[in-house]
Formats: sequence, C-alpha cells, structure tokens
Amino acid sequence: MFNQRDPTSALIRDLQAVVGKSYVVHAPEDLLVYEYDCSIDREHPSIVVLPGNSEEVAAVLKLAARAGMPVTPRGAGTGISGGAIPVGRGMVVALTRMTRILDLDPVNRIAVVEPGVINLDVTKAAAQHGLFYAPDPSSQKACCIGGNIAENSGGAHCLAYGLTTNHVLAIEVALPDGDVVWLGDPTGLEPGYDLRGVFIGSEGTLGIVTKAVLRLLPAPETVTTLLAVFDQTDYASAAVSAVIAAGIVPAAVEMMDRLAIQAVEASLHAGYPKDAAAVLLIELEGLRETVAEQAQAVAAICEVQNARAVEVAQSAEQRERLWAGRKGVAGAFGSIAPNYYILDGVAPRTKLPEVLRRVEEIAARYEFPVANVLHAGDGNLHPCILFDDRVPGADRRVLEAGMEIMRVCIDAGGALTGEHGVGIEKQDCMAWVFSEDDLAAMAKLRPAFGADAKFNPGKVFPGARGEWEGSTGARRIMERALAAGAYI
Amino acid sequence: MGLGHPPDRPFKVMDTRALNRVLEYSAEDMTATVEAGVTLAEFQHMVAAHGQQVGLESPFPHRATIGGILSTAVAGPHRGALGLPRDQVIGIRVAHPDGLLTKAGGRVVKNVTGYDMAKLYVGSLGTLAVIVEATFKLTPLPPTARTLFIGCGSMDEGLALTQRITEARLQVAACELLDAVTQARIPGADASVQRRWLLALEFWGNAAAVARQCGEVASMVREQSAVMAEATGPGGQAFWDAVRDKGRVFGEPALIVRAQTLPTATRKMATELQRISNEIRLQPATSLRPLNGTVYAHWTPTGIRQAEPAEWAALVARLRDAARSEGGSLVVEDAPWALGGVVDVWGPPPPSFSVMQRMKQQFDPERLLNPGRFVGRL
Ligand SMILES: Cc1cc2nc3c(=O)[nH]c(=O)nc-3n(C[C@H](O)[C@H](O)[C@H](O)COP(=O)(O)OP(=O)(O)OC[C@H]3O[C@@H](n4cnc5c(N)ncnc54)[C@H](O)[C@@H]3O)c2cc1C
Repeated sequence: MFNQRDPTSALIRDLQAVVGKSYVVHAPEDLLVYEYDCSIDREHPSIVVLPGNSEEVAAVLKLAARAGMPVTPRGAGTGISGGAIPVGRGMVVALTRMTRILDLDPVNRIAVVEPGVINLDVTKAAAQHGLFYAPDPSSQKACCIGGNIAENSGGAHCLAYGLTTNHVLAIEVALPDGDVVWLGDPTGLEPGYDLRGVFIGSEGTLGIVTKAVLRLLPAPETVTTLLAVFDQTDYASAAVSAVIAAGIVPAAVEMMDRLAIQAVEASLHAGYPKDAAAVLLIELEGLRETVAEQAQAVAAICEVQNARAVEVAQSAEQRERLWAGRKGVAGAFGSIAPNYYILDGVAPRTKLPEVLRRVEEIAARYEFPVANVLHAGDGNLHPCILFDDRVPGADRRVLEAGMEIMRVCIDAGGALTGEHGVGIEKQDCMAWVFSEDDLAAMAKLRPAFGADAKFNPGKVFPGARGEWEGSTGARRIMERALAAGAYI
Repeated sequence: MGLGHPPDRPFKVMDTRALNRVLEYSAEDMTATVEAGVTLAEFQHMVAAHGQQVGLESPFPHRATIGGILSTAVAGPHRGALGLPRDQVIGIRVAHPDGLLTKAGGRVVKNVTGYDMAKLYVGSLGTLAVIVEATFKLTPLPPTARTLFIGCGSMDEGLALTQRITEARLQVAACELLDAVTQARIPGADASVQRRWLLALEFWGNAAAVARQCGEVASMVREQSAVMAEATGPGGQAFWDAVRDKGRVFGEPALIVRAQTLPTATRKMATELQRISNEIRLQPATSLRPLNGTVYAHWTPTGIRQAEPAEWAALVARLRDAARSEGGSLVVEDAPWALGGVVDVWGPPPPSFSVMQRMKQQFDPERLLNPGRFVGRL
C-alpha cells in the first residue's frame, strides 16, 4: 500500500495554506511534545497539523488522503492506552486549537462545543445557569471533549450519571475522506442507525469529531460526602456491594487501599487514617430528603460491614480535602516510587474482594508493591504497580504482571477496560474476550465510515500494531506514567 | 410488524419467541442477561421481585419481546427518569444474515472494550442483524411513586406550569400534557379536574422528597388557579400504562405519529399540528411531552377511513416539514395496513445516510433482513 510516512515539501506547503504556517509543526524538536499520551508507548509523528475549524479539518484530511499519509487524531494526549500515538509515524491532527463553546442553551439544557474544549470548561461555562456536564474523568482539567467522545470516558460520578455516550446527543464528524457529516441531531433521537452511538468509544479510528452537542444537567440540590474506614479491604468491597444491594445508587463510590492511603497521606494529608486497610469515599447527590436518608442508610450499612469509622464531611472544605486525596493519588505515587504502571480493569462489583486478593497475590509473586484505587461502585479497578525502571528487566515484568491482572478481571466475568480504552496497550488481549467473528463484525465499521488502514493505524484490533509497523520498530519506554497532580 | 415501511420484497417472518430464557440475573450486581424472546412483562416481573426494574417501556408488555423493543428502541413516558432504550444495554449477541453469531460489550456496567456495537443494533429495526440476547443494567424501583393530575384551561396554561416546574428543578419522572380527546380515551384522570387540557406529572423517589415536590406543584397550581387531584391506588400505574400505549388496540393499528423537537419547540409543533389537522378536519388525539420535546398525534382506525390514503400521506408530510423546520424529525410509529407503503414512515434520510448505506452493505450485503423497511428504504 502507498504509505507516505514523511511529508514532502509540497504537502507541507499545502497544509500551511489551509491552517496557516504556524499551525503546521514539522521540526523534530517540536514534534516531541506529540509523541506521548501518558502511556507506555511513544512515537513521534512526522508532522503535526492544528486545524482551527471543521472546514480546515476536512481540508487537512483530504490532503493527507491524497498524499497517502497515515493520520492519527489527538486531543490533550491524556489517553493512557496509546490511542493518540502515531504508530509507524505519519500525521497527527491535533484538535487543541478548536476550543470554542459555540452555543449554550440553558432552556433546552444543551451545549454545542468544539472538540478541543477542556472537559471541565463545559461545566464552568454551564455553572452560571445552575447546570453541569456530568462525565467527569479524573483528567477533566486537561482532557478534551473530542478525546472523551473517542474514549467514551467515564469518571467518579458515572456510577449515577453514566458515561460520555449518555450525555452526547449529536456529533459533527469529519470522515477519513474529508466529508463532514452530523451523526445524530440535538434531540438525541434522529431516525436511522445510531451512528453517534457507535462512533462514541471508537478510539479515534472512524473519523475526527469536529463539533459535539452535549446534554447538560441541573446541578444537584445537595451533596453529601462520607468517608468510611476499614481494617480489611474485603470489608470495604463487601460494603460497596451491600450499599448497592440496598437499592442505593450513590453518585460516586471510590475506594483506596492501604498503600494508596499511605501515598496520599505522605504528601497530601487528606485526613485518611494511615493505618487503615482501605477507605471508601461515598458521595450522595440529589434532593435533600433523599440524600439525608441515604447518608444514614449508607453509614449504617458500612458499620454493619465492619467499618471502623464513618465520617461525614461537615463543610465544603472538608469535602474538598477528602476528594483532593483521591484526586491526587496518582501524583502521590510519584513520592513513594520512581515509576508506576496504572491498570484499568473491571469486575462485577460482587467479585471485587476475590479479584483484589488475586491482584495482591500476583504483585507479591512478581515482587512489586501494588496500590489499588477503584471506582468501586461500578467495579472499575485501577491497580497501580510501583517499580523502578532502572532495575534491569523490571519494565517487562511489570507488563507481564499487568497482563496477569487483566486476565483475572476477565476470568471473573469483567472487562479489559472500563474507561482508558484498548488502544495499543490492550489490543492483543482483545482475543481473550472476543472471537474472530466478534472482531470481524466490529471491523466492518471501519469501511462503513470510510476509514482505510491508514486512518489511526495500529489500534484496538489484535496484532494491529505489529501489522502496521512492520519493521519500523517503535520505541517502547517505560516512564513515570503521569504528571504530578494527575489522578485516575 | 409495527414500526417501519412494509418490506419491499417477498419476506419470511422470523419468530424469536422460542428464545425465551433468562440466562443470568445477578440482583446484587444489578445486571441481567435475557434472550430476545423474553417478554418485557416477564422481565420486569422477575427483577421487581428484587426491587429492581429495567429501563424499558413498551405497549403490550405481555407480548412485546426484548428483541422487538430493542430493535425499535422507542422511549416511553418515563424517558426522563429511565433514559432511552439504548442506554440500558451493556452487552449484546446478534445473529448475522450468514448465520454467524457475534457478541459485543459484556456483563459489567462499565466497559469500553471494543466498539459499542449494541448502539448500532439497537434501533436498527433488525436491518443489520437479529438480536438474540442482551444484557441490561438495572436500576432500583423507586420506593414511592405519586401521580398528580392538573386540569388546565388551555395548552399554554399547561406549558406555563411545566416551565415553572423545570425552573424549580423538580425531579419529574414523567410529564404529559393531554388534550380533551386523549383524556376521553385514557382511564384514571379524576373527573373533577377534567378541563380542555390535562397536565399529568409523576414523581419517583424517597417519600419525603416526593411529598415536598408534590407540595411545590400544589402551590404553583393554586397560584395559577388551576385544579389538581392525585391518583389513588393503582390508578397512577394504569394511567401511565395508557399514556404509554397511546390508545393502541392490539391487532387494530391506528395512525400514530411522533414529532421530536427540542423542548422549546414543543409548543410550536403542537400548534402546527392543531392548525394543519383543523384545516383538513381530521383532529387527532394529541399529547405532549414538553420536557422531551415530543408531540404525539393519534387517529383511530375509524377516523382514518374518513379520508383517502393520499390525504393522510400529505398530512404526514406537512407535519414532518413543521418538525424539520424546528430541527427535529417525525416518525410514524404505527399505521393501519391501508396506509402501509403510502405514508412516509421516516421522512428524508439524515445527512449521514451514505454511511448508513455502507453500514447496511457491510452487514447485510444481500439485503436479507427487513428489506426496505427502515430509513431511506435501507
Ligand atoms: C491522570 C489521568 C486520569 C484519568 N482519569 C480518567 C477517568 O477517570 N475516566 C476516564 O474515562 N479516563 C480517564 N483518563 C484517560 C483520559 O484522560 C481520557 O480517555 C480522555 O478522554 C482522553 O482525552 P484526550 O483529549 O487526552 O485524548 P487523547 O489522549 O489525545 O486521545 C485519546 C483518543 O481519542 C482520539 N481523539 C482525540 N480527539 C479526537 C477527535 N476530536 N476526534 C476523534 N478522535 C479523537 C485519539 O486518536 C485517541 O485515540 C485519565 C487519564 C489520566 C492521564
């Protein structure tokens, strides 16, 4: 196949004519910023283009197609699973200039935004009308709506509110051939196939989001946050199941284990007891009577499930401090280990105790400390393996341990990824979950959207990376995965 | 065969009712996997025993199967509380025209492994593959449900009240504004509040929170000097079932159209509906879901015989133009056989139709599944 990995000077000129000279990046030192998405993999693109609107995205895609150059879309580059990494190099189309909120309609409760708008900025803009945008990935200060749509991102509060797909009514998409179409309409009920729905979560492999219509929700009347402290992780997991079994769906149920607590307390002093085996951070939102009743019920359930203490945040500051610990946990790992590898797996809530025991065993066998942070309410676990990449062979062993842990999630009836996506990282595990026929059905979406092998190559499907790269031999470096202050 | 155009070529009917097993129900995880032939009533009954519900609503729940409901994916009156049918499915298994079975998603509530294929199959009217099994996330049944009936002298009075309710941020589980014709057909509404329009509201949740909200509505109603009553006993449930069924009688399809716009355009759409149907003297039963931007019109089989099929086709086209000029759409949810193939069920295909055509080509290249019945005669 015709596959142009380095731009000709004619292509550079044409791209500059579309987006302006300063928005075509091709000097090697400038490309470095675009080689990384917080995951294990790195590869710097041959050229980066930053279009300013839908028309420019379309024109850029047409030029790339004509030049036979592979294209990888990119938002803020916080994806963790490698989706925005240009496997085998080629062009990166970065959407970070498209940051306009085009419309905010408080009566119909919708916002129309460009893909480069930072997630948190939507809620900030909506707040003046008493509204908010529900999906709140922990990276919400950095990641953008286009990336959220590509990954179908969740967040701590998706237990009650659902994932990105439940809050995106329509998207304007530049198809890989450069045609721009709307998928869905602002009512969320356009007749026809739900192309909006299959596009969301397709990890940037079917086209580029150029606009999105988002659903906004009224801010809750009351919020109550509880901290429950346990002497065994099993107790904490059992409490999570018991709360849900009581018919209570909190807005968020987050769990941290001993090592995570110690990391947080060493640097952030959130007020978690250092000797606890696990804490649960439970948030209830809604009408005041409901929240009051549920808060009492949750506290009682935690006590029955052997909580050592249950504390209710008495002020906004206290609530923020409790959350700051949770939000700062990834950064805090940096203070107790040179490197860490964050996993993202899912187990049925009721299997969490068993799965966490297996995680512990695996880590012990590989002789790595592991800290667990969980969106426990929906069974989404993030074991973080702590290691030192200066120890020869450590990076390889970390990956092996990680894969064993993923296997445990699958064997428990769970899933390979709850929110970070498959990308490069987990493509070879896809065969654990899906048969060749299952994958073949999924692969039909690519031609239907007009994506050939050159559109975001090397992702999601087993072996995709190897096939695409051939012998170009990308670098695979294990680094401290996240910036300080980041949380997962 | 309710929704959709008649097939455009000879067809066989596939009966999925033999696929009627519950494959897994984990009340603690609040998930359940069922085969496509399980009826909605069976499903709800099973999970209700554990205080749970599945967020689907359908006419004829004792007959309607999960597979059928998912392929049409029409929302009911409680959309605000439950979400859309597509939001409920976390895993799916389908049969392709070549006989292969494939799955997507899984059995856990949070999962982004692979493409979200369920979204493609749900609402595709069986034109891409046949749904054979689906896994759902479930929600707790509300501890309290209360229904209020408010008599309003005009549609605008009802809409003004709805707007105040929205501004007060009450958590309404269902909100329907019914004209006099609809009221006459629907049991449950108290005679003391029967006016030209009836605003029906349902609140779900904690008893105290529901009571406070009902109280707030009561004072708004007093300020507007409207009248209010509350459903008693099973009356609320029966009323909402009837609202959901939109006067459907099994085996006797009526003409039911649904216009979908943004909430702010509901009034304009309803007004257009009245104006256009007045002109041709075919007044429908009208009901509005102002919070969702939905307007329903219903003509009985008897009413339909009073005009020629071509007149109906023209009426539907005009109503559709009105919905489209507000950025919305109009779908014929049900039509008598006499109008089959005459009225345009879906209207002009959406802007992404070329992708839909390629999708059909990928999944059903020989056009074996429901040929010609869906949008753009896919
Ligand atoms: C500290 C930290 C915490 C995190 N916490 C969470 C969390 O709680 N929940 C969660 O779900 N995720 C979380 N993530 C993962 C990540 O932030 C999300 O997946 C986010 O949505 C990625 O957005 P981005 O803009 O950084 O996308 P990128 O990393 O730039 O790209 C991600 C994928 O989207 C594609 N893409 C980007 N923009 C577009 C577009 N406009 N059109 C089409 N495709 C596009 C890319 O090709 C790539 O495949 C976390 C990450 C970090 C680093």
